[in-house]
Amino acid sequence: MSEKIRLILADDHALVLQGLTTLLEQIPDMEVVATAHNGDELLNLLEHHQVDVVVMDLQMPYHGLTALTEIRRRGMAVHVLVLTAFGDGDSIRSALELEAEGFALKTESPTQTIEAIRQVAQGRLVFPRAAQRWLAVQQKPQIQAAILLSPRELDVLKQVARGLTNPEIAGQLNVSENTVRFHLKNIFEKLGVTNRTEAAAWYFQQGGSAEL
Amino acid sequence: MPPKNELASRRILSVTEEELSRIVLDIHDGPVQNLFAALSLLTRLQNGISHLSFEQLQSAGVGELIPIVGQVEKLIESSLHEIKFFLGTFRPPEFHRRSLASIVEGLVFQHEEWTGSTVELNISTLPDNIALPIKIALYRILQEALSNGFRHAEVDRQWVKLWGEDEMICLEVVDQGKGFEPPPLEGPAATELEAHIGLRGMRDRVALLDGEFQLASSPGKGTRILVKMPAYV
Repeated sequence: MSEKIRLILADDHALVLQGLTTLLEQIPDMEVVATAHNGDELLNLLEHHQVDVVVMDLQMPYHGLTALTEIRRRGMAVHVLVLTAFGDGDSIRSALELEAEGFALKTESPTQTIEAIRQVAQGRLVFPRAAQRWLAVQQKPQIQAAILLSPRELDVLKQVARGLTNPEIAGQLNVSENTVRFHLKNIFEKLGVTNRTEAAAWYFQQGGSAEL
Repeated sequence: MPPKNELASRRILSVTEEELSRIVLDIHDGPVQNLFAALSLLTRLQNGISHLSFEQLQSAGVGELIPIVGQVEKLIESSLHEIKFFLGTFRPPEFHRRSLASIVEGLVFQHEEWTGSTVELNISTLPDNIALPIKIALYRILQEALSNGFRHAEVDRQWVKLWGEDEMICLEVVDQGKGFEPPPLEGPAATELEAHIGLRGMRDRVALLDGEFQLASSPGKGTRILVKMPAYV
């Protein structure tokens, strides 16, 4: 990546902010633009800084949860990664419902947080595998599909749903069979499915057809 | 009206859950945050020295210290993992605030996430305002049943059904795994084997709340646990 990922970190635990900032400052493709200790501060900072990703704890005073709601309500163009000590279903669900794009844990190595930042910055959704079914039902189909899959992957999925084989899809899209296999592997991973039948089922479940 | 000692047991059950919740929250709010911060700093240190050559490190007189940094990093990482897994729940289920359906859903999620197995969950309409001790009991029973299925039945798929019948709550947990010969859980012949403590615990929790506990299993035929409890105590 030629340009750095610009970040704001928000956490009410000063030591976490300090530790993470110290670590990220040395990562070549990242830049910590500012840090906030609560939700209100975060919103203020976002008014004045253009950043790519916000890394935030949801359990913050002065409105961690509300801050995320506000970010979405105001339509701020920023990706949000939730970084929390709690990896239970309820926390992940809150993050999903508030339209965060990623979820990283403080009980895992910080290198995983760094990787999650990169993924989220590229517009990918980063959630634990077991959350996939909530992902599928909770977000609007078109938004969901668009966030999850690249346009090319959507093309491939559409052909899979039509019942086409890999060689047929390759012919249809003017690409090699290898490329089709590559896209399929990514599609399965992103949707949390293991075969093309499940992928097709997912597609139809989303009400998918023309607009996808 | 249940006898006095039963009421006392139920109260103790709720208090124990509350204490557990507080401990879990405190650990997540304190040590976990500090350990994560420490690990971030150590990773920074590791990344910093990884650029240096062996000779540079030797001449600075710190060559033999480098492996120690790695060791400390691993120790902290494994402490965080232990906290995550041994606390049983990442976050206490907050029984007071949440509905039984949401608590069960969260537990199923957690089980899938930890074990990589699949749980087919089916929840139908449930009565409102289910009593706190009932929610706690059903949560602990389901937790035990799911973990038994994974550990002993050796299956990666289980079926969980939760539904209301008049003022009763019914919970069914089924697997198609190894199965076993169910030991006697009541009366003078009741099993005292350590391996059966979980089963007895489930049965006792149900009995304490005037519920019904059925266990059906046989070798090679899978296992089915059915629990019926009053929604209110």
